[in-house]
Amino acid sequence: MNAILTVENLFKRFPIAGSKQVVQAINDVSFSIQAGETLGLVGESGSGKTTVGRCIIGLLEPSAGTIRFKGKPIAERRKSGEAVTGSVQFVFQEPAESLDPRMKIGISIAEPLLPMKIDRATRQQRTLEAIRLVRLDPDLLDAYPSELSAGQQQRVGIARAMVTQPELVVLDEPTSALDPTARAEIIDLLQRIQAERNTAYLFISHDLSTVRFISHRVAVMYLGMIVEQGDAQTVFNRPHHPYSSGLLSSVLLPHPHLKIESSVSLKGEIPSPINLPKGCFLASRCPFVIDRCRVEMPPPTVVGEGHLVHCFRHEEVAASVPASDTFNVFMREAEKILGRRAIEALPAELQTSETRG
Amino acid sequence: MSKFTATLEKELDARVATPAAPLVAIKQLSVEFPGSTETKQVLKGLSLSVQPGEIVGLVGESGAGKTTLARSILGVPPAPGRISGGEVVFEGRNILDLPEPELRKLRGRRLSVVVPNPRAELNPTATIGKQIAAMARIHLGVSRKEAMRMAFAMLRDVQIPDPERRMNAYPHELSGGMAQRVVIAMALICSPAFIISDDATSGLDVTVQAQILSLLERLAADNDSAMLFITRDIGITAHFCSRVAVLYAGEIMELAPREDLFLRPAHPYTLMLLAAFSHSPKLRDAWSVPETGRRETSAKGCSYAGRCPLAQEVCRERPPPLAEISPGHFARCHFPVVDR
Amino acid sequence: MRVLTYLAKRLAFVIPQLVGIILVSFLLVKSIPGDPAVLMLGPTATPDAIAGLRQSLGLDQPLYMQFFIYLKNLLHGDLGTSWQTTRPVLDDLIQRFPATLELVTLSLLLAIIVGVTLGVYAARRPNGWIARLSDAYGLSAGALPDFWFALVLIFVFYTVLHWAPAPLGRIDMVVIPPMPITGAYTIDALLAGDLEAFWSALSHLALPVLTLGLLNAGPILKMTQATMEKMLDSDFSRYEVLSGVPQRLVVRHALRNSLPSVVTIISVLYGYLIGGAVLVEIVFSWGGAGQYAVQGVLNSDIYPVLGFVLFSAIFSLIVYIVVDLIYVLLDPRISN
Repeated sequence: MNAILTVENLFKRFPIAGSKQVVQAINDVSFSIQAGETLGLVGESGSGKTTVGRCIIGLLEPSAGTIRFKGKPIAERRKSGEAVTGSVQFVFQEPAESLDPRMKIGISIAEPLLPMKIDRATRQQRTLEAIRLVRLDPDLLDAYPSELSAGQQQRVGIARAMVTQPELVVLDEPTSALDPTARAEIIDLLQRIQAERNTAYLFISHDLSTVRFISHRVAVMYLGMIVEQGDAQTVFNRPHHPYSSGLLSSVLLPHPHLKIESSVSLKGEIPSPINLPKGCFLASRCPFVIDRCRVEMPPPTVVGEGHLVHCFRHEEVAASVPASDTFNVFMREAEKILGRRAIEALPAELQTSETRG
Repeated sequence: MSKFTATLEKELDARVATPAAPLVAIKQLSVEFPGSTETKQVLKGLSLSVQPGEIVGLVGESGAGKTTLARSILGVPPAPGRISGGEVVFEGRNILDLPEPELRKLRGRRLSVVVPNPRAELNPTATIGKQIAAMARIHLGVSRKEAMRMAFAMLRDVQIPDPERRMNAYPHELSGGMAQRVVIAMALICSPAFIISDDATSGLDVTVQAQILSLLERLAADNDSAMLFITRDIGITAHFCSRVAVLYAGEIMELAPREDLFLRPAHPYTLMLLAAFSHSPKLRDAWSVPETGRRETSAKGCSYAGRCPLAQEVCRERPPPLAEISPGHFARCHFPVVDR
Repeated sequence: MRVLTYLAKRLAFVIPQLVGIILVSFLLVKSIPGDPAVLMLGPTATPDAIAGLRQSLGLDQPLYMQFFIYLKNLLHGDLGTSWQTTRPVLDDLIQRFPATLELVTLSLLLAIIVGVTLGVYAARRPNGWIARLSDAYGLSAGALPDFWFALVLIFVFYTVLHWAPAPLGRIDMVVIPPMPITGAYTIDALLAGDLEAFWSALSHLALPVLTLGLLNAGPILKMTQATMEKMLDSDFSRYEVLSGVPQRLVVRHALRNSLPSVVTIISVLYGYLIGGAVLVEIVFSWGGAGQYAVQGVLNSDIYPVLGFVLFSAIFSLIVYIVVDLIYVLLDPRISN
């Protein structure tokens, strides 16, 4: 298979104004994304996941490392002008903030086409296709962002990304600001578009249950490092890194009897990325910690096909709880619960009774 | 977090089974927002009661009226809203009838609120210690020294690391999770009988959210406080509340003990919310009507009719009552989903 | 410690700032048409006399030389001589600047009391009558010319009611001014224990202070009202209300958070009023520094003008440094 995006040994440091210290936002991150694949990038706020996304779309310049799009470093692509073809696009978290409130939806959607020197008729054609692709009424092309719900605004954000027919879209928390129903619709839409167009996604999110279902592969970030990556189902069912396990145990599924088992409950908060510890970054919060973890950074270890983990005790972590596919169990339960049928009508004796609640 | 699932499961369910005199009874509470063209009904005769020591969940999407409810219970609806009807009976008195000075003595003392976005909710120019101590000084009338001692004990209780140093910290020096702990400390220092948590965990990372939830759980139990846990995350309520109410457009659509609501949901809106979480496109399609164009709202009839896959003619004509479909399980629907 | 390093950094910038200000004002003053030599000697002077005077005044030198001479004299504490008063400018200003400063400071104190109080009350009830009054007040305070308002006050309180003394200077003619220590008559009179001079000075201050104070309360009022409304509507104030904090405490905390903006507008007004009070000074024959500078401009008497600019600049710089220090004290977020 050909990787559409390869990130190799990426580093990003931000100097702090008026100080000699630096924020080490990304520390040696490597991963790749295949055509038509979704890689979920998860982690707490401050883990550096957004910074990775911004480096890829060129909003930030990496401090070290290479990012290749179809084998060619993006820095070169930008110089040669290939970048304007819009083959890498992005969608941000706040739909309302990424749309100009005084610009009609149609103009916003067509905007990425402008640098591509496409004639007006084709532009209109592509805009119309894009709004149909995200299942919005073409009448809305003449509307302003304020006339739309948050979910619809995010659809516009997606239409604007898709209008250039990109091969890779970086989605930075595209559903976090949305209500659950709108969130589900957006996920649904993204999956449909992927099936139709074979678009690859880098899906950045802290919402693990969404990531579980949209991603083929998943990368778990902590303090600027990918501590574990691999096939989404494998990582979620049997995490090998204590941090992945701890994150998963915090997921609350809407079912009173279903809980993701974990031997890790993460104490405290993510430390500051300014003075990083010498050993494993998680050592201060990790129940599996041994002396070695405090002095030495665990190297990447292959524990399965395409499954990498940075942990000295990954075997103990993986064995500490039985493997479980709680997310799928929940889906099957939900099918049972939601598969029930409505009664013909509310029985007459109940029609008048009012609440005591 | 894992603590409150297994061991408390039984306890929670026991609470539902034993009815007692309610601590707080919200009765037919209506709040309206006057606008330039029309007056918007944000809460439409909402009724809900909370037993002593009980944790009731209230789930709603944005715009459902969650914050309006949280603040109207305390007699201060968000501007320009005004309470147009109903009562909030607390310990036998309708607190909405109380004169402002009386009501002020209850707020923060007997009825406390925990708010989201805690860094903005704290006074940026006062130290953490002073702000927590102020609550004790105002409501309990203790000396400055005693208040500072209580504040320090409270900071330790909410598990803030290095509480000695944090007493003199300013809000901007805290992380979101820390600030949330401070807000909880302020809300609980007077051991209130009733705590309203208004979306208190939104915006926090999942691991921090888990810590805050178990903290709230433990402190409420220690104080024997009851809680109304308002949230947009239906997942939390499945593990944290004994009863759950589902709010839509200012009305309770469904109210049931936790087990009933999640295992036998009856209202199509509740089913749609659960379907949204299931990540099964089949279920989502079955329970939702996708929004393509501008949203329509029907003036009469059921407020959910426009989005309901089960809606019939009658739903657009006549509003359904909140009917008891099984003991303790209420649904506001003409065609509820039930086991037969 | 941090405050001291900060102060040192700020003070290091003061000298270049002052040189810049002097250069710009020097060029501006020089560009005013009119030949001082002609004005000084009068219409009957001979061209030879004029040329001689020009030479002795250094006016025949190129502009940059004139500037360097002025700078060199400055370093020796010589601000030049006014040909109108025939006294060294430094002596004139030492006498007149405190007069202006006394007037402006007291006016500003009145403006702060009126503006902040009304602003806070207006913000507490945005639809109440105080808020409506404040709106009208803010508008009219901005629209009324100060000299006109001064004349109205003189008419009412001196001409009609005889409550105020005649608008002719800082103290009654028959009262002997106190020994100058600070230059402010009220303070000096108190220091000397001379109550008669104190009351006389105070009664002469009444009308000009009312004029400047009431008119300049307008901007302070608007700023206080706007910031207070924002602060009272902010999340932390709302949370205090929800937590049963008494309203006076909520207002006090909101005011504490509004102070940085209010202090900003006060500092701007303070710097502005040093020169901006000149019309009022003229109406009340105050003999202040502003009046002195304007006469200098009108008569091509450049040294009083430059001296005044220098004094005002130093004063403004001091005010701004003090304000910056106040910010640090008021807002814990700045100190980092």
